[in-house]
Amino acid sequence: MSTAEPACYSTPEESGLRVETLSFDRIPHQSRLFLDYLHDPVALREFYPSAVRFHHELSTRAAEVLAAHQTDRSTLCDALQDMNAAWGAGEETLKNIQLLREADCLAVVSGQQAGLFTGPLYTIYKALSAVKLAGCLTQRQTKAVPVFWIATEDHDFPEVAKARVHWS
Amino acid sequence: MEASSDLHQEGQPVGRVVIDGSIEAILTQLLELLPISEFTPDLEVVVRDAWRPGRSYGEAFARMMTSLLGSHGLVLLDPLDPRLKASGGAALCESSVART
Repeated sequence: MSTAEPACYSTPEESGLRVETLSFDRIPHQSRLFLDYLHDPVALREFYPSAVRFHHELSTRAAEVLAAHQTDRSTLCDALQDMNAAWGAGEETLKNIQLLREADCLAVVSGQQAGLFTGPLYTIYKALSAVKLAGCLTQRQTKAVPVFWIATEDHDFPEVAKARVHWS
Repeated sequence: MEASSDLHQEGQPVGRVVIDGSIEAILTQLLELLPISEFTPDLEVVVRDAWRPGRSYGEAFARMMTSLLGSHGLVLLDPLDPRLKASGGAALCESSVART
């Protein structure tokens, strides 16, 4: 494969790529628990009491979550405002921090260690999952913003010191 | 690619590790390993802008994540901020992460 091929500005069809869907159960070494969760998360409520079949069903838990997680939103959001602004955050992020000041706004929280060059690819997927879920809740008229908790307090430097590039 | 273990002192939170000049060689190595595409120039700007000598690991990570995903409204949180420690906000988020 040439290393100068253009990446995906065009659609897969336009670029002549063959696109197939590969289900997780066709990938070797997946755990039974993981595959069962994908198939029917509600059947696993013994282990995951909050499991829902569809993401949008999480909006029904908003009141319960807001009651269970109370904090000083003003102090929290002042700190978030300062740190995100210092890191070059744009309007979308700052607007979400303002929204989080409101007592009925949920935070969809994901997180990961501060890996070199953002670390494993799943770090990005975790952050995007929070973005997607917050968007899903917002569409259902449940205020929600995506928050990514950076595990900066972790002491295990070897875990964040390496980055690998996989290319085939 | 690997950052030098000399950057880290025993017991130090990784977010406070300060990047030194050795990052330049690692950045060069990264850019040599990645395939070249029309995204390469923009990617180089993002990576070099974030991972600069003198910055902490936490800040470098946060800046790169902001560059990549900030347009989606992602809010980043560094629990080392003393105000978050005092308010329990970081602990709140940590407990939330642990539930996922």
